[in-house]
Amino acid sequence: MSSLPGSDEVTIAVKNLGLTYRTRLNRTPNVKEALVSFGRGNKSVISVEALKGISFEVKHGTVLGIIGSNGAGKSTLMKAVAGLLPPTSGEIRIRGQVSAMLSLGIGFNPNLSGRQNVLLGGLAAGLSRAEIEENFDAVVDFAELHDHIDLPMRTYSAGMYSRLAFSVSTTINPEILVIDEALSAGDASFKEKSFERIQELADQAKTLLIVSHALATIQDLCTEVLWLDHGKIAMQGDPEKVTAAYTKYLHVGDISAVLEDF
Amino acid sequence: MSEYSLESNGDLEVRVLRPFKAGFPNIPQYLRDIWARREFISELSRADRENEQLDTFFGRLWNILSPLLSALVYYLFIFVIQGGHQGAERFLHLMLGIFVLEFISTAATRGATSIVSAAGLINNTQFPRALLPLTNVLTAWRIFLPALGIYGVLYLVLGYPVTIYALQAIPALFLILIFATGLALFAATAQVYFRDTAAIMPFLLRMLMFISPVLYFPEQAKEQLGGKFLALLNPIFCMVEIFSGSIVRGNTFDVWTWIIATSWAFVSLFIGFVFLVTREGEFAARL
Repeated sequence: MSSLPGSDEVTIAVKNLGLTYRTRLNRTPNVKEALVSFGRGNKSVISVEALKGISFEVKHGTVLGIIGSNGAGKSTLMKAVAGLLPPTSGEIRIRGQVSAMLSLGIGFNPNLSGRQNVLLGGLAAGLSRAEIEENFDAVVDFAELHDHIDLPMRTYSAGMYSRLAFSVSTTINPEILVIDEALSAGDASFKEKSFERIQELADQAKTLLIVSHALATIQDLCTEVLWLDHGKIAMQGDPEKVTAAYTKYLHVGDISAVLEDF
Repeated sequence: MSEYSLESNGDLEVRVLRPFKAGFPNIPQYLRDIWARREFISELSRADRENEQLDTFFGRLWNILSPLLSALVYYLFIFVIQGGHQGAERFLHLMLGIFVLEFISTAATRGATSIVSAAGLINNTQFPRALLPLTNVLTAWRIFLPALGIYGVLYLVLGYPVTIYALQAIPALFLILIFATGLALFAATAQVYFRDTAAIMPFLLRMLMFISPVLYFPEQAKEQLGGKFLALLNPIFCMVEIFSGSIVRGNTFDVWTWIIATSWAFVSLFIGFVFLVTREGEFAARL
């Protein structure tokens, strides 16, 4: 098979990606509801067409911000790139190890210690024990959790959870880092530290995908921005330009009128 | 987990994520991914067990204590309450059956919640989801082995003869392991769609015990009308019959008993595996 389309610099190539998933209306299905809805002929399963044939490429060293309203398909796109949801159509080509920090604070078993969770998370991601142990001290250092790393994670505060999650996903050397809404957690000093870390990774020519509703964060960190709207790409390019268009859209509410201006 | 293939491009591997073909991920790649992460299975199983035993006074001693107490209960039942007229043979048959059923039941009930309770990991990390129920099969196996050891000691203490035919128990145990794995994979997937699965499981498993040659000998069931059907339709009847019969009585078995046992084991594995891998693409959206 051929290499990635475009230049060798491309680390993520998304081609005509469509993703439809089925989900339930209620969160915990049980017999009673199943019987009642079956009896009434209700459909408790709905299809969500989250992404409708989108294409884009990301070069290494890029910090790509992804913005859009709720339900625009941002998280679905992140899950697809991380390999958690298979595409319904199209394809994604990815060069290098992907590390994802998608749902804040989870990915962890609260009854096990921080140390066990870091090890298990790494092993599940396909890292070797040696690779994890080699980086372990650096993970704990960055997360500033020296006193807590051997305690069960249920004793951690929300900030500690997110510090550890961020530290794990950025320390164990991924080529591609996918972060969803995670930067708002942690206190001000940790936030600054994590911004620096993201800058470092970008300087090392890693690729970062960041979803955030905080447009100031997006403008500070990103070298490129992708605006998703109803499962399609509304605009892609320079952060200033795209966030300005998006902000205007939020006020005007008419996407075609906004895009004409830019 | 997506269907994907690996290509090499310079020093970094390129993964291509594509739609599942006919609902299936790339199976050879899937199996290679499981193998590459075998340490995860072993480590998670160990961590789970350690964590459970952390708060108990006897801790790891329970690995030995639990089968011993179980043997004591059945010893009282057979030798004291029933007066021992059925003898050591019945006791040894019963114990072996109980331990095997406990193994299957532990694998299935723990397996049932394995995927739903790992929602966090599933929403953040790409890995073959089959690893989660497989972890619980390993846990059940690690609980079962000391019980088998205790059984061996009891067997020798009671002065019962050991024959060469006992070697048939090894393939029979392998079939039981295959069956339990299929059941765990199936239950884990079913729980995602039907959260009552884990609650129903113990009753189904108790039912399975009553229709298996555990509380009685296989020929006692086969004498009854319908007993032959039971041997055919209860998936574990023949496996348990061979496992216990070859050890306790030094029996040999006709080819049909082996064929039925083998078929059920692999049918279970096949159904469980197919159910899981064709569904796991949805898990990150469902949990």
